[in-house]
Amino acid sequence: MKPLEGRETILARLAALPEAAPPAGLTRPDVVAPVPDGDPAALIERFVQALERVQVTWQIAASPVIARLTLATGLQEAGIKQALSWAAGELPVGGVLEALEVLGIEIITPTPPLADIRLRPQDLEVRRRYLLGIEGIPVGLTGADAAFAATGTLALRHGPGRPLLVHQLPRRHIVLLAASQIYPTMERWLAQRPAGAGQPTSQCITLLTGPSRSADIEVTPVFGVHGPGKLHVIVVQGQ
Amino acid sequence: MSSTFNHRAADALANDSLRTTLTRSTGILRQQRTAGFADAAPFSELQAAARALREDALIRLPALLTQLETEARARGVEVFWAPDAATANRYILALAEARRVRQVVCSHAAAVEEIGLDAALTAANIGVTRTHIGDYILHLADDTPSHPVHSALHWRKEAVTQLFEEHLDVPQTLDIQSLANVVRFKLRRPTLEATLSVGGVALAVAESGALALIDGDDRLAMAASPIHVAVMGIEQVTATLADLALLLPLYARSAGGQPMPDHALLLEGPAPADVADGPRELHLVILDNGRSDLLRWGYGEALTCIHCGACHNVCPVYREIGGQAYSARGGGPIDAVTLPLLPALTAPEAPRGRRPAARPASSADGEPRLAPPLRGAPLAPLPHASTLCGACSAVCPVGIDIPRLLIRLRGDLAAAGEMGSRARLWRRAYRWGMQDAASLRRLHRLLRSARLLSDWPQPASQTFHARWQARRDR
Repeated sequence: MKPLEGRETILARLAALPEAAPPAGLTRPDVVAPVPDGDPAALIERFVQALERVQVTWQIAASPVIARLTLATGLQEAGIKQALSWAAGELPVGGVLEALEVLGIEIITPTPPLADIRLRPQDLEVRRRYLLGIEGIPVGLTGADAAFAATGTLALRHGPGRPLLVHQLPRRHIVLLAASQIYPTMERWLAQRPAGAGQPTSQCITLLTGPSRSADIEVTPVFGVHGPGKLHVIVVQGQ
Repeated sequence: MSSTFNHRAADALANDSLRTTLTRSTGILRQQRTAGFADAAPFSELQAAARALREDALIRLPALLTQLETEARARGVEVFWAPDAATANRYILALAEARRVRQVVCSHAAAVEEIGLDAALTAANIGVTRTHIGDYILHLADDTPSHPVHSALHWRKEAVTQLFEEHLDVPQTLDIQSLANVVRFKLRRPTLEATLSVGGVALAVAESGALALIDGDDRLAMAASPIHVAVMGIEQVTATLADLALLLPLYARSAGGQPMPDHALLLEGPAPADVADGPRELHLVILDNGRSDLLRWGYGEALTCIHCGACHNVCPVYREIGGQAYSARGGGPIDAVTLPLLPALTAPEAPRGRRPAARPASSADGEPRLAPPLRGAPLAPLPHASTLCGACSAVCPVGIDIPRLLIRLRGDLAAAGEMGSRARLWRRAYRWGMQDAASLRRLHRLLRSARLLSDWPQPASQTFHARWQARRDR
């Protein structure tokens, strides 16, 4: 069947349906009551409570300098030698990657050789080797574009210098989040998007609410099968 | 597996281990759901709002689907409309062959399961890796799913570890995190090496073309695989991104008490050239496969389902027999509505004989619809496998009135002659015996003398109404 035939077939079936009246009045109520506007401290408090509910660990850094120190100390104490990261310019705190490199931590922003769309075997082999080569790197470091206090959700935009692999591949994911990026709810974040909302702002947005979690054997929760099993958020104030 | 519902249900009822597992697991899921809504707005308010959004989407389906197509194409997505499963499979197979793909990773998705893609790929000598832990277990064991979210709900850890030892040559352990780590280890290489990944769509957003993917098992494949195919039913479209702010939390809280899915991807198109990873080619398959028939026959309400599995977890019948008794691809309360109507969903159970065309229904509620052609429906017993207690509707995040749909379907089946002579006889006897107390006593005597229902207790000498009246008069 040609693509257009399938389209016309389905649309003709739907067009033949009897007309129905739309439901009266669509509403999208808040699933949980949001923190009242204008109280940043309450917003952070609510956000970290929500993080705890979904097994995310967190720290609050009073300034970017403290955030850098917090991160560097934490990675050094954990004996981390390599980390995947978004590009320096995509992180909300300047100088972070330099600070880590000074401590001897190798930073890699993944740039897997593009698999040519023709998928030539030699290109695929180079790509395969690259991906398997970075597979064992234990930590991924990213920023976030927004966070939702009601659910403890982080929104990460995909784009240049912001590979998905950084927050999908390692066992541990660390997020540097500017306190100003916390919104009460997803609804509020969507509502403040620029005029023309509904138009695409990026190729893809990842919404993370906790570490990678599954419950497929006896509905017992386990972590880290499909993505990082540990998620840590450093909320940076004073930006 | 036994070939009919009655046999499969009887087998399940005789399996104490299965029932223990189902009781325990569904009990945990019910508790998680209750805890998940503890801090939420009144459930009835959320349920009504979600139901209105889903109903609105179904009413505006042609407009929303064409808007979705336009927006998705504008962002570089290849959109393919598949009237049936075979057409969907042919498209994916042709794509795999054109790109010389020998191995495909499949994430957990009802639509992918429905079209039987595994079998189609295998027949074409293309390997399949399932990335969902439950699906991975079932794939190894050549077993079938039993729950929409937890496909291997009927498996116990003792059986899983034996399976892994046998097939993966790993030592036995009863630690569930360790068992999951085995799957992680086994999946990493094929996932990173895959050139084509296939998965489902929770909801597609018409206004922006965004595809909401919430199956966490596809997260790494999405990052690594150069080509991704997303398969969605025609009903899985919603008007705006803002709808997701209500529907995603409702799904996650209903499915397992989580505030949101742990991982959700809003995918608007293939990765641009200046981005390091993500799919370079993105294909969207929009699948009908009988859904438009459900709408014609007056069962469109079933299509508002968001596949959270909450109705399964509370159903007293499901808890006793499990999903595998319902059909060869699993099932539960909502599927007791859809599966008898759509044999295409259960390909292994072909309808008996030729199905007649649909005809106008004598609808008691006045809703204009066509009666479904149910003669020969292979899963005709399913709508009767319900106590109509309504527990399913009470927890359904979009408020689907499953009992009402089941009663309507029972009527349609009876009208189509899909009620055996024994069942007809029993129904007439029941109707006669339930007229009044005297008839009930006569029916009791008759059945006992015929040595039928010999364990039916003697009806009380005084009716409830009489006892109640006497009590009020005192």
